[in-house]
Amino acid sequence: VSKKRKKKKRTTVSARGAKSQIQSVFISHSDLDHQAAFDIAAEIGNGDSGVDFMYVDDSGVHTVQLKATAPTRMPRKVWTGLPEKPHRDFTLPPAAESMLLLMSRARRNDVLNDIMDWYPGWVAEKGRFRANLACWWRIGMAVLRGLLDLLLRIGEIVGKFRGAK
Amino acid sequence: MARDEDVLTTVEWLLLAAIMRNDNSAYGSVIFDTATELARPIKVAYGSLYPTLERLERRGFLSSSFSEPTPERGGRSRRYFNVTASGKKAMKRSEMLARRIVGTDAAWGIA
Repeated sequence: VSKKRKKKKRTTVSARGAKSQIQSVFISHSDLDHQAAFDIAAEIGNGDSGVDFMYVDDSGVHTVQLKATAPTRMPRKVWTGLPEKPHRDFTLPPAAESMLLLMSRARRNDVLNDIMDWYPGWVAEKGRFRANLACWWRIGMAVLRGLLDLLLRIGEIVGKFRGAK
Repeated sequence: MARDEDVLTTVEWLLLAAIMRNDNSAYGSVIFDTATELARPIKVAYGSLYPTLERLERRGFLSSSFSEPTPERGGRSRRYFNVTASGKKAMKRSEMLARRIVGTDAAWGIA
């Protein structure tokens, strides 16, 4: 049986508007078709005539002015799909992520998973600045303790080696 | 006769108890949150979470398995920890040792 690899269709939507409170939102989902992409962009723009809608699919990048195409009042729609690119609240400060490079790959994945669990809650509870501080603190502690643990293990090995002599 | 490495430290005991509280299958953030809740008002240091879990795994008190990677986690998988049979024995042994050391409450002047 020949296995035909199905090409995964991917559509990315971007809405950008100076008047809109949402300056830029990216939505990406593998099952998004043109109409669905447009509906989401219109929903993000909320009928704002200054909002442009850009979408990217397999055939390239397309830009459409909502002013020209969208009705004055867009119907409210709820997006239930799972975005592949997370919202800003779900992304960590890049500098904090780079600090994790001091850890092993396995430990880095574990710590990143944990922080990503807590981070949205911290943002909602304490605000972005304090959430970033909390994020730095936890990652810093994990890095320092990891290094200390490594030193202790080296010390243990050296101690056993000396004891055996 | 139990060796000293068979006896658990307080943090080790606490983390094993936190995993047991979550149906003996939990990942890092859940273990930490449960342990913090159990130890309150004493604070648990996040930095000591993974070194302690990995030490327990090396000693055979814990086993770990990885979940399927998910796109919203950037292709990363979660590491789930489970307390092994020897881990449960070690918990019991440490508890009995603590009881033996303390003796009765009256011996410490605790009502």
